[in-house]
Amino acid sequence: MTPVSDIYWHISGYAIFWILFAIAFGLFAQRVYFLFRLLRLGRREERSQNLGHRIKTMLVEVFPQWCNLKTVTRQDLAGIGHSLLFWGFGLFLISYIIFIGLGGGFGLSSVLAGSTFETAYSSILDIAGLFVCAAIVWAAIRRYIIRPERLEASFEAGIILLLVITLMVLHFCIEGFGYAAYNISASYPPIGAAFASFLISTDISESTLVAVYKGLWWLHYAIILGFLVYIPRSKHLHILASPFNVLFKSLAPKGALNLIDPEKAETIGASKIQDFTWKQLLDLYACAVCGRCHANCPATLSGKPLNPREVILNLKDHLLEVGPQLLKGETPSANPGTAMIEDVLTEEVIWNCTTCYACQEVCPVGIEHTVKLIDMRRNLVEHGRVSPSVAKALESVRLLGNPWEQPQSARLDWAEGRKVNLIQDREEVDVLYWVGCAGAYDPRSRDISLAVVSLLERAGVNYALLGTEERCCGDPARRMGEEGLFQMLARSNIEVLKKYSFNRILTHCPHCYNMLKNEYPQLGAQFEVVHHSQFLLELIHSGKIKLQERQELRLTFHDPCYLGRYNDIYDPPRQVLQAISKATMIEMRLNKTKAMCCGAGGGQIWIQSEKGRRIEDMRFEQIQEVDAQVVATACPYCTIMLDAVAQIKEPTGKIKVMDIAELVVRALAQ
Amino acid sequence: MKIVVCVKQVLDTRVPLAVNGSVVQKEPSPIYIMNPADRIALDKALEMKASLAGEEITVITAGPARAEQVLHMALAAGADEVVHLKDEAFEASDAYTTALALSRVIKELNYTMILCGNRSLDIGASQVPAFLAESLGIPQVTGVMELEIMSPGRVKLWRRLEKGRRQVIECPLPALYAVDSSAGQPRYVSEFSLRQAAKRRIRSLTLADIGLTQVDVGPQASLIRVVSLSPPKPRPKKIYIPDGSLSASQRMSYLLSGGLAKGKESSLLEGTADYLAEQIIKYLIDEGILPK
Repeated sequence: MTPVSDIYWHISGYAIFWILFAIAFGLFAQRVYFLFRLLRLGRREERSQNLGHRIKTMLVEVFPQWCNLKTVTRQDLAGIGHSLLFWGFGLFLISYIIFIGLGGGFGLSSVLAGSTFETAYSSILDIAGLFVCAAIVWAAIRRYIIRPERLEASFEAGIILLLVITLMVLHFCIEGFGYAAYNISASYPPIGAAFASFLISTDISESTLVAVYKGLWWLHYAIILGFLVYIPRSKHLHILASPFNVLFKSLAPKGALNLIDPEKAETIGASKIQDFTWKQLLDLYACAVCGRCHANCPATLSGKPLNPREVILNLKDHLLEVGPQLLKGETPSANPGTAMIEDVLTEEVIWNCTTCYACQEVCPVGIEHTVKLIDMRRNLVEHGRVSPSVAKALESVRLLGNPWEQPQSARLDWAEGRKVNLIQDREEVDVLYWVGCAGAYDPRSRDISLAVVSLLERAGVNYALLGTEERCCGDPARRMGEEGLFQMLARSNIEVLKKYSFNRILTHCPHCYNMLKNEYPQLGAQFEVVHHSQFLLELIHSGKIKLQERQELRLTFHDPCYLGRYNDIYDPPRQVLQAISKATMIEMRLNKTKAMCCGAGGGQIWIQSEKGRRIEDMRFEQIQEVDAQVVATACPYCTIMLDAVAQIKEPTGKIKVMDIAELVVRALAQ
Repeated sequence: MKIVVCVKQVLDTRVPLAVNGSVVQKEPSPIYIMNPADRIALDKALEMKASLAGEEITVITAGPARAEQVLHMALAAGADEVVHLKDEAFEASDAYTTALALSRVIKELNYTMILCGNRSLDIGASQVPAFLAESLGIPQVTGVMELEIMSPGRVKLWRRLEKGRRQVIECPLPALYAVDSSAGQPRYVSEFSLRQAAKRRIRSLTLADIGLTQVDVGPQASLIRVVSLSPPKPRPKKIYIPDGSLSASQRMSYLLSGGLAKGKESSLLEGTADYLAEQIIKYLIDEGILPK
């Protein structure tokens, strides 16, 4: 029997039970409804397509806790603790519904009491309770003693740890006192039964045992209800929101930005919280403040004002602050100090992002940090609020077709004095080599283009270039928030590409690769695009490129963000390197999904964030940590950035920065 | 208060231009831009409009049909009204005839302030503002770096003098102010707003509308005749010197431009902040910039 069936001061226990429940559930529902209405302030966004696939993803990510466990492979063991807590507490939540809800509230405890089901479930709970306690202790040790970079010992976290461990202790006590009070002797559930037999062996009177049991039971019930009220009002809202956030996460290629139709859009980009879509707002609820994002953010690590976790938390606080006014139809922007851009997030923060995707890659709940930052950039660009260097780069892209302020007529200057195939002279080609602006104009990157062309010729590939018909792919413009310019460039490039007949596009620039492959389809153009790391591997494997005997060359590989994290191409460049050198590849501390950005992406090469350290310097120090002769990479931006540092930090040339194509050329058989 | 901004369409000099006798050889697809100083003048007008109520900006250009582009740009940037004095003859007009034609249009506009660029990127004679002010009979201030409306009808201006000096003057309205190209950085105008502006109609006037004929503006009427043009002398060879104190993007632009000019003697100091500060003060004293 549960204490609910008793009478307290002439009041039925059932009445007390249901009144308490009604109050708690009312407070819970009121808050959840409020939060739901705030979400509806956001713009519309289609996120329900492919629902079957979405549900499957959610089931795979959330319940088996893959969302957290996947980061364990990144030497972050906290995911194990979270999983124990999730599964263990999940079992308790179910038990609350069965034993407290059905058993207590609906008076079905007589059916359940003593049943095999109850014994079995309680036994499982005892074990689960131990695991939960262990996870809580571990969590407390991490927060208050180890204090890893990404975590802060917040008051909220303390409350929840205390509440959960109290519930666990109460569970054991209630079992013990309950069994002892009603003199039930059993060997299961193991801990409850053992505790009960201990209590019986002492000389505590039966009435005391009963009173303590009842007191603890009601306390237990009150804490569970308190939990219900507290969760949607704290950072633990993520318990409710994150499964939905995973359910509705983007199915587009990683990091893809949405296409703006200027005719239909009410405003371009976001300057107010309600300019974000509902999913972008749901992201704010889903944040568990785990700090994985800022522990991996190159801007944060280099001491710049941007901190992706703070971006999410500040936006959440802002939504909760101005939300009630917005729901009443008032405009809070009239109040001083509540402008989203400036008061909540500064322009500097918005422009600090390199769009390296490290935050999104590691976020267990699928929050889209870069999308929000670029949406705010879009609004700033629309109002001309960009730094002179950004304005210069963007205007150069518009007028001259590249961000380097070079004339279109000079686009083929890199190939001066050498015969190259032009698509205008050919009927049909197999491979269209897309050189990209860096490869065409930047002196360092021109060497990469020359290397690729000589490899194409050596392998006898039927290739051609677009020559002066090629223009910027639009990546810098789009990442700097100049959506209109991106669309203009993409449309003109698509028109040019459609004039010619080729099988696939080859590019050595991961930014061009990502644009052509993943974002041009938004404008109705599907091309088969191959990155030179994949293509060179193909040529080597098929024997079209013959290499000398492998040499002893100590190589490490710097993963470009737009090749690795954006397109999951980690192995092909490494395999190319292994075909060149017989020495084992040396991996840096931060490699593959964890690789640190070179500091150039997202237009950062033109944005010039001067605060804090330079990201490329930090990355170069990581290169220096490993004993490599050559740091290979597969992106012109990375080559430019790292080579510039190498010239200063390793003037003797002890560490060379080279593109994989340059290395392959060096290793060609004579 | 109505501000009239005069703008000119010029060739983008980032694209290499060849000279053929007395004319600039155009590329097959030349790139035109709004004259940089005019753009800063327009930005100054827009800034005033943003801070004061009741401002109205009219942008005017005298040029061939293709000059329409700079007016679309002006509309996208936020101009209220644009006027295109359209005639192919303006291509070969000198400053005097251009100013004469502009003054005919502006006279009818009920203006309070006229803003011009101080100097054009192509000819660079800095004469249009002066001729224009003269023919309208209003004062002109050249080399304006900053301006501030003090009271209705009175403006405080900062003029650019040599070696970073500024002259602060006051000038009554109506007047013409010629803005220096270094008075600001051009405000970015987005592609979406340009596309939006391209749909707007432009008020265009012919020479006949302002009571002139081709004889009044073309080369025949010009007081100045270009005899020959020659390309600039080649610049001294630049060498790229790796410099750890520069940001990657600065290094990049040096790499692109071939590096820092090796004319002036420069030395790189390294050390603690205190040491560096000391050295800088010592240098300034040695050079006679700071008193001993």
